[in-house]
Amino acid sequence: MMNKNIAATTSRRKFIKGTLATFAAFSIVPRHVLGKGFLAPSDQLTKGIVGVGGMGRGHIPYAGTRVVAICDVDTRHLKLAMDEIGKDVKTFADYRELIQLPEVDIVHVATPPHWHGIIAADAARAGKDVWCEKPMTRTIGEGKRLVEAVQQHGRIFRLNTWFRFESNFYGMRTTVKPIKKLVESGLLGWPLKVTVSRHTGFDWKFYWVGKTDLTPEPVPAELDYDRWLGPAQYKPYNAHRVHGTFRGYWDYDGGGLGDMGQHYLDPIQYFLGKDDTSPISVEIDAPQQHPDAVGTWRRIEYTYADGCKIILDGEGKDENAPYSEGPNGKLYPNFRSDIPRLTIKLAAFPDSEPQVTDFVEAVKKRQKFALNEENGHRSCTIVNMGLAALRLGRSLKFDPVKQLFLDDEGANRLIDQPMRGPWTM
Amino acid sequence: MKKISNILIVLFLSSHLSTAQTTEERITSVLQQFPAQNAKQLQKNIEGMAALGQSGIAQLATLLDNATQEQLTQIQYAVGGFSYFVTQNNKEDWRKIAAQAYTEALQKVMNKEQKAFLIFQLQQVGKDEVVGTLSTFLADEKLSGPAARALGKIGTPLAGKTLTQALYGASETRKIALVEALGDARFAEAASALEPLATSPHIDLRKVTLYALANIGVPSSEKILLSAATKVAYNYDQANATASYLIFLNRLIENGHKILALKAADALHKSTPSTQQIPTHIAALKLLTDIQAGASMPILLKAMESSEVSYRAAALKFAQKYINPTTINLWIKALPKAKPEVQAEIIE
Repeated sequence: MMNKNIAATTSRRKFIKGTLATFAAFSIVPRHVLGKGFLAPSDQLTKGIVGVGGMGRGHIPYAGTRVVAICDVDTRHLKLAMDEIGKDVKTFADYRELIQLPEVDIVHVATPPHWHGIIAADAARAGKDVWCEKPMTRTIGEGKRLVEAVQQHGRIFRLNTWFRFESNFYGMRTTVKPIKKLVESGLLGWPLKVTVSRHTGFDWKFYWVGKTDLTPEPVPAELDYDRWLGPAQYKPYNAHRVHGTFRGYWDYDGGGLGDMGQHYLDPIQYFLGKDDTSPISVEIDAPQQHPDAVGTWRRIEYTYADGCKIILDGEGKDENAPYSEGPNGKLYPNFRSDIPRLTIKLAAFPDSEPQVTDFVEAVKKRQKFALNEENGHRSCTIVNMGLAALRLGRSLKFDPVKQLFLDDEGANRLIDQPMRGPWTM
Repeated sequence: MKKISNILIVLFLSSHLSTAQTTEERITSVLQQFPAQNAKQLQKNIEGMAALGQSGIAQLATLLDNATQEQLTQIQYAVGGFSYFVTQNNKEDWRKIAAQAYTEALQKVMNKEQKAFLIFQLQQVGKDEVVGTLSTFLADEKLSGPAARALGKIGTPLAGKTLTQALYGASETRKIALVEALGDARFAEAASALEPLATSPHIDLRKVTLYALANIGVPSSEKILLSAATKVAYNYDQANATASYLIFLNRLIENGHKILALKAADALHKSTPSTQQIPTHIAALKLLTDIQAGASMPILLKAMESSEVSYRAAALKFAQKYINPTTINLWIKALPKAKPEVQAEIIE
C-alpha cells in the first residue's frame, strides 16, 4: 500500500496543475518572457555571509553567486575570509548592518545553530532570500517562527543539506532518488522501519561531546564573546565552548545528533513522504546528560502516526540490520534487497516528482527550493525532539499538528527557550 | 495512585536511610551514583535524591558554592537530573520539593554563577511558589536576566505582575530582560506599563518593547506599533519595528480581533507600494488572505497584475490553500487577460 501522505499531496498538485494545463494547451506561453524583478540567467546573485568560520568560508565559492559582504564576531575569521575573497568585500561585526545592504540578494547563515533562527528570520524580514546551515534551528519554537517569517515575507529559503536531491547517501552508495521510487512503489510494503547506523554508513560523530569541567579563561581580544553568545545564557568563556567545539554544549547545538541529524534524517522524511508532519513519539536509551555538556546515546527511536519508524542506532549492535524494511521486503546498502529482481520490477513504476534543486534558479524564478523552510523545519523537528528527550532523560509523545509534547510540561518548556535580550525572534 | 506511591517511597527511604547514615553521608552516597548510565539507574538515583527530602536536597545544592571540580560536576548532574525528572507528569510532589529546596539553596549559595545555575533549575521546575524568591533577584544586575527569563517561562499572572512591578526604577539594562520576559509570557496586563517604553531612545529597549507589545497583542498597542513601523517606512530596522507590527497583527487575529486586524492589514497593504517595501507588501497580502480565506481570491488575482515577480509568486502561493473546483475557475478566467510571463507563472 502506498503512503497516504504521498498520495494526497500528489493528487492535489495534479488537480491544480492538470486543470490549468488543460487550459494552457490552448495558449502559447513563451517561458522566456520575464517580468520586473526577474533576474536574467546571466546575472550573478550577490551574497552576504554571516559567520565566516570554517563553515562560512567553505561556502564562499558557489556557482552563480558572488560574495559582497561578510560578518563575524571574531576578527580573525574576518581576516581569513578577506584573504580569500579580496579586500573589496564589506565587513561587519553586526549582522543587522549586513542584512540592510541593498546590494545583497542572499544572506548565508553559517553561524553556530543558536543564532540560525534569529539571523535567518531577520534577513527574511529585511527582504533577503536565505541560505541557512543545518541544523535549521536549535529549538522547535524557533523553527516555527522562522517558517512564519520566511513565508510572511515571501522569501526563498534553502536549508543546506542536499542528500534528498544529490550525492550518494552516505553508506547506501546510491542517491536517495531510487530509494524514494522504491518506497513510493509500495514494493517494500507499509509501514517502513529505517535504521540509521554505522553499519549502513552513518557515523554519529560522538566526538562532539562537551566537557563537564570547564574553567573560565580570558576572552581572546579578537572575539566579541558577548555577541558570540547572543541569545544564549551567559556562561564564562572557555575556548572549548566556541568555534570548533561548540557542538558539545546544549546552549548552542546538540552534539553529533545536532551536527549530522538533519543530514541523515531529512532524506528519510522525504522518501517516507513525511515532509508535512512529525513523529508522534520519541523513545531513548542513553546515559544521563549533563545540564551543560552534551553526551552520547545508545538508541533513539521515532514513531509516526501510521507506524513508520526511524531508528537511530548509536551502538551499531546489529550488523545485519537492513537500512529499510517493510512487511514485503528489505533494502540494504548498494541497493541490495531480498526482493527478487527488484530493479526490473521497479522499472515498471514512475519516477518521483522532480525537485527544484538549483538555488540560484529558485531565487531568480521565485520557486520553492527542494529543501525549504517548511520541510526543513520538519526534519529539524525530528532532531530537536530527540535532543529534548535526551536532555530530559525520558521518552516523549508529540502532537505533530500543534507541535507540542503531550502531557509533559517539562518537555514543552524546552520548545521555546527564553533568549537573552535584546535578541528576539 | 502514583502520587501516593511516590510519597511512600520517599517516606520509606527517608526513614530507612536516616537510621544508618548522617545527612552528609547520604548526600555523598547519592552524589556518587551520578551520572546514571541508563533510565533504570536514573530512576533509582532520583528516588535516592528525593529521599533526602527538601532540606537534604537544599543542602546538596548548597554544596555548589565550595565544591571541587569533580564534586561540582556530580552536583550538576544530580540537580540537573532531578529538575528534569520531576517535570514529568505525576511527579508534582517531587517538583514542589525541588522548587522549595532550590529556593532554600539560593539563599545560601553566594557564587553568582552557581546562583544562575539554580535559577535556571527554577525556570524548568518553578511555578507560583518560586515567584517571590525569583523577584528578589530582579534588582541584581547579573542575576536579573536569568530571574526574569525564569519568571517569563513560569508565565502565570503572578509572575507577570511581579515582572511588571519590577519595571519601575529598573535600569535600562535590567528593563530589557524584564520587558522581553513579559512579551514571552504574553502578559496582557503589562501592556499599559510597556507602551511608554516603545519610544525609548535606547534602541535595544525599544526593540524588546515592540517585541513584547506585539506578542501580547492587545488593541490599545496598535497606534504605538503602527507609529514605530511608519517611522521606518515599513522597512527593516534594528528595532524590528515593522516585523513587530506584523506579529502584532497576527496576534490580533489569534486573539479574536479580526476586524481591527483586517482594517490595519488593508491600510498596510495600501501603504507599501514601492519596490523597497515589497517584503512588507507581501506580508500584508498574507494577512489579508489569512483573514478573508477563500474570499481573498479577488485581491490575489489583482496581485498577478503587479510588475514585481516576488509579489506575484507570493500571491500564487497564498492562493493555493484556497484553490478548489469553484475558485480555480476564477484563475482560468483571468488567464487570457494576463501577460505571457504571468500566464506561465500561474500554469507552472
